[in-house]
Amino acid sequence: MTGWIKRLDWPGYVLAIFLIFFVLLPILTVFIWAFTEQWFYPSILPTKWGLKYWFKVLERGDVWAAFFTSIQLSAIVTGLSALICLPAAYAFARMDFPGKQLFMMSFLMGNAFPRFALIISIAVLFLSLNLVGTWAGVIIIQLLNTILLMIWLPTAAFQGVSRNMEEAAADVGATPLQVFWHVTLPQALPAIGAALLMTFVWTFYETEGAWLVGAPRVQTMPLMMMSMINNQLVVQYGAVLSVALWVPSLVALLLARRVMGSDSFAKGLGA
Amino acid sequence: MARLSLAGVSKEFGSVAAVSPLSLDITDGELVCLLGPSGSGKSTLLRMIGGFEMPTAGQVLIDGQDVAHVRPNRRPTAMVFQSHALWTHMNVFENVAFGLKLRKLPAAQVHEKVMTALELVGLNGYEKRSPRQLSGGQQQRVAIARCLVLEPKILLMDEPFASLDQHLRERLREEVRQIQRKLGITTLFVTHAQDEALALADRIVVMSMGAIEQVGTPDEIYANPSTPFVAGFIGTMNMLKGIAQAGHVSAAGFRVKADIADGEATLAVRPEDFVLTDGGLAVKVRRVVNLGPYLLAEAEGGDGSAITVHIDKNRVVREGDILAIAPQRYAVYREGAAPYRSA
Repeated sequence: MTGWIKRLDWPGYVLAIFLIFFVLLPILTVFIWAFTEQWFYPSILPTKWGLKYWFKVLERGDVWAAFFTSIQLSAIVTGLSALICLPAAYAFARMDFPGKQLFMMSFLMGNAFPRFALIISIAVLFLSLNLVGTWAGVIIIQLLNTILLMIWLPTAAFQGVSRNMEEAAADVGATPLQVFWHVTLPQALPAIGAALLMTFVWTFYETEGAWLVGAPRVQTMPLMMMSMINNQLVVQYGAVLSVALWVPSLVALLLARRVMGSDSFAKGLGA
Repeated sequence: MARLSLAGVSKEFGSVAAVSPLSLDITDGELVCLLGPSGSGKSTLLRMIGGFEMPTAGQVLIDGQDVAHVRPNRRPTAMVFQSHALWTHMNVFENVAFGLKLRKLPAAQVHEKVMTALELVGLNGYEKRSPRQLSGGQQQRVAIARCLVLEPKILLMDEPFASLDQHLRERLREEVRQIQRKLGITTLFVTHAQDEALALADRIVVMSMGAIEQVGTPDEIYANPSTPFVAGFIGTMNMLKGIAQAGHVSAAGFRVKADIADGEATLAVRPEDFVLTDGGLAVKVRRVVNLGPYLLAEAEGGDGSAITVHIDKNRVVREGDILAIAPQRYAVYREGAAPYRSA
């Protein structure tokens, strides 16, 4: 009996219980609420299942408007971030210039401060620049959030490209630009793809910046969800929107896994 | 095919001299091995010829034209890297075809040349494979085909077989030798493996600490090493410290004739150059290793020095036996003087 107890993987069990309580159970509860029409105490499971609240949520024009706003904002922010950060990442990976390490660390330091306080101070600045309540304001604040990821990840990716591969390309006649285009970029692409995808997903779910700088005029999907959770007595509205908000990230992550393969994705994240 | 000349070429990284000024001529169609230990400057020299490092001083002349400061993509050279450096996002065909496509050759011509190059290295049928699906040896063949397809004037090979197992290395170096002879391409081959250099090269350039120690054919280098470094680096050599005095050298109990100035000297004898003779020095056998064609005996000399001797395998020798040996052929090295060689 004692031997059997000793053979048990106690840390594993504790971790599993922790995951069930703090990760799976809340997710399960949200899922159950999203498909619940009636749930009365003391029943453990809903007394009536159904899609009634899905139809109610999805027929609202403001929900769709917020969804498209979020998609457009995420696409613009990801595109701009790529345009600004990828050349910078290449410079950090392949060039030597004064203050290189300091610059790299500065992106990290920006994320070391409490984000809410940082965004409030930026929002105050934006107020004087008439950027509050505008798309431009939301784009800028969300763009700032993406810099760390879009610089650090691609920098690691560019650094990971074998110098010999680049030299071999130059050796067979490629100009520096051709070396970059035909060898460096394709080699770093899986990791860059992972960074772009994560930027898109993070931006889609970004709440604090959009709320402090954009609301109420720029209504994104997470803000819509917040208002539904805070202002609606019916729990199902928030639950339906929460489950619906999973869809883009789930599709994107599955797509990324299919296109890039799990090893490339892990490589992009520094594994 | 071309003639390569290095004239006073040197390379410094900050205050460190990686390659001291050196000159070297390589004739058309010759295969020359740069041989030396790690840090001897051989790879840096090769990279300067390939254009990946700019020389601090000197000229790199290919058919009389100085290319020392020309970018790699504009040089008539092609390099095979130790790491193979195949582009993993391209298949075998695309890897070999890449250089030809950059030259904007018609697709039919590209196809024909690539297939010919792959056939030359024994990889026909592999063109659609990813480099990741190939073995180390096959990857290196693709890297060789990628270079040869461009018909470079000079082929540079930087320890191309270092990551392969011994059996594969031997097979590939024979294939490389055959291809090189068939095409008559001037080739510079960097290696730290002396057996590779001795088996492959028309001439060997032995390098140490950024300088050339000796240039010669494999036979010359093996039989007549011109410096103690080369003597100790190529093959197995007993380097016995001793004293030269009155036309003789005394070392480890041996006393041999050597027409060299008095002072500290090193007696160098290859294991196969000892003979068993009644009047020889008595040495005690510490270990015997059967190397197939002969026995290798590790013995202790008169002053306790370790001496390695090759013995005919038909003779019975055991640990603890006393052997009487004498050097039949030897060299004596003394700093600042030309080496003395026995007849």
